[in-house]
Amino acid sequence: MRLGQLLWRRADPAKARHRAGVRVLLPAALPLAVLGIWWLALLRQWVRPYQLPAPGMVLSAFQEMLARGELQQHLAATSSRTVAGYLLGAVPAVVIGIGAGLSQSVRAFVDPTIQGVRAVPSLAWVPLFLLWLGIGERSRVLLIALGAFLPVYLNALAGVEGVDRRLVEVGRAYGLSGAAITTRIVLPASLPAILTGLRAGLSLAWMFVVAAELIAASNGLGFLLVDGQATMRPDRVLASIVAFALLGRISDAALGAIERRALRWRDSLGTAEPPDRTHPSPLSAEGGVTP
Amino acid sequence: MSGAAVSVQTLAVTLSGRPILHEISFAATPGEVLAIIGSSGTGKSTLLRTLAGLVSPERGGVDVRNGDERARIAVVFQEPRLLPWLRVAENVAFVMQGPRPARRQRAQAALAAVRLEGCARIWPRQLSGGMAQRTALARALVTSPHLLLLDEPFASVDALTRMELQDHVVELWHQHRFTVVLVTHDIDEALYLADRVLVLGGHPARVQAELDVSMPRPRSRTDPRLLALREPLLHALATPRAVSASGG
Ligand SMILES: Nc1ncnc2c1ncn2[C@@H]1O[C@H](COP(=O)(O)OP(=O)(O)OP(=O)(O)O)[C@@H](O)[C@H]1O
Ligand SMILES: [Mg+2]
Repeated sequence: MRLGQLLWRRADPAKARHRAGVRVLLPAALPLAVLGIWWLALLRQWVRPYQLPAPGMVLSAFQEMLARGELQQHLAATSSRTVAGYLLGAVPAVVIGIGAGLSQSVRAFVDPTIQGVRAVPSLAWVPLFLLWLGIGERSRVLLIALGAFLPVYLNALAGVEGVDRRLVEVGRAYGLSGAAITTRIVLPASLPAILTGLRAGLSLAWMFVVAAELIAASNGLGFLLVDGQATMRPDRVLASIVAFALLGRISDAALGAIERRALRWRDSLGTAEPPDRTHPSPLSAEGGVTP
Repeated sequence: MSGAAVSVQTLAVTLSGRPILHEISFAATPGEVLAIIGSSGTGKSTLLRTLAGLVSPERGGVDVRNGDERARIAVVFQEPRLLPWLRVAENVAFVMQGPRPARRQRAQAALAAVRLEGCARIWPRQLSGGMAQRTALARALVTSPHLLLLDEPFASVDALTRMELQDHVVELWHQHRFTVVLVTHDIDEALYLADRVLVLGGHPARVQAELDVSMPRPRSRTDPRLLALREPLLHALATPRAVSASGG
């Protein structure tokens, strides 16, 4: 349930119908308006086609690149290095973040350094990576990994730190071992924060793959962007942007689906009504029942 | 199975530099039901948490003994403290050991005993406050504890359910004879359930009075002998540093 609904909720069928219309029309309104202005700008010759091609031309550039297999090849290059960089950054980030949340000494060991690295805008590392690793796949993947690492680490750390101490006490009171408390209480309790971090890390990974490919690459969607600029093909640039948008949306939706499934238990407010007592009045019942 | 012997000796507890408990001494024999009453904020929960091993004493000590074996302790906290990511039945099964099907079956039985058999598959957030507290009670009882620590476990249920749950605890006590330390605000509850009532009070808190309720079980809530004990208990609660009261 949306917070707004909670704040201004009314049971009114006319309102409900109105809301259904809002759900369909409102999200489409802004893109349609942009398309309209785009088309109008070309019609009135506010911009030249070599600066901004017509929507149809972008579409046909898209189709043409698909037909030649060009787009697939660049999509594959970009996705594989994003996935590689993301895994390289996010997996250690989860482990180190949890470790730092659990142990004061791990935290004292890694956190100041990571905070120091965080203070540097990540793209500032690019020249160094290029110097060390050369213009190649390794420096690109490393840059993506660095971008993905920070949000995942920060969220995992905050998640573990924010675990309700009272739930940890339940484990202690019932004699669970430290390892059992960690795996059965601390980790599930910090899962929401970790998943938030993983999603943030993914969006940064997409951002950094663009940066990496803009700077130095001979394939990938980022390369397609630079190439389109160099060859004065804004239709190809826009088609690459659309491809990026699709990749980003699809990967985020996939993570979102995983998140919704893993966090079913906290899905907004109570949706199901709790079943009522299945028994008659306690007075008429035959007293206490034994297990 | 039997209860654990509890012995608390000149216990002092300090929290964040503030002395909360001072010179607390008492003992409970195996199978004894001890009630602790006292006004809000005196340190009843702190005492119970110390018995559960969650707070380390500043001085003195707590000894929970079950012959030569390790005593199993079960706690019902003042709040339900269910794990929100586990369904109700899984929350009950959480503290048990052994094979999964057996755990599930016992959890189901324990839920039925607190009249929540229909709630096994729902999430804790879908429970009312009283239902959540009953789940916490089921979670404690299912471990067959030697020592059962109850922190106002029936505070958020209606009067009828409360009586039902009290009788459920009494019935289990008859079967297993575990030792109980019950923190409550409810004088009648203390008198109905306990063999002995300790009154906690003062800053830092001490045991201000002690009342024997030596009456056989099952008891009647309307027994005039029980009702007669209300007055000394109320008196002990109202007057700080009252001397030991006794009845029965
Ligand atoms: N972690 C803590 N640090 C410092 N003081 C604390 C802490 N926990 C509790 N206290 C203080 O200890 C005192 C006793 O708290 P406790 O929860 O034991 O009271 P209580 O008798 O159970 O009260 P109630 O009947 O309201 O539950 C209170 O004054 C409280 O402010
Ligand atoms: Mg309390």
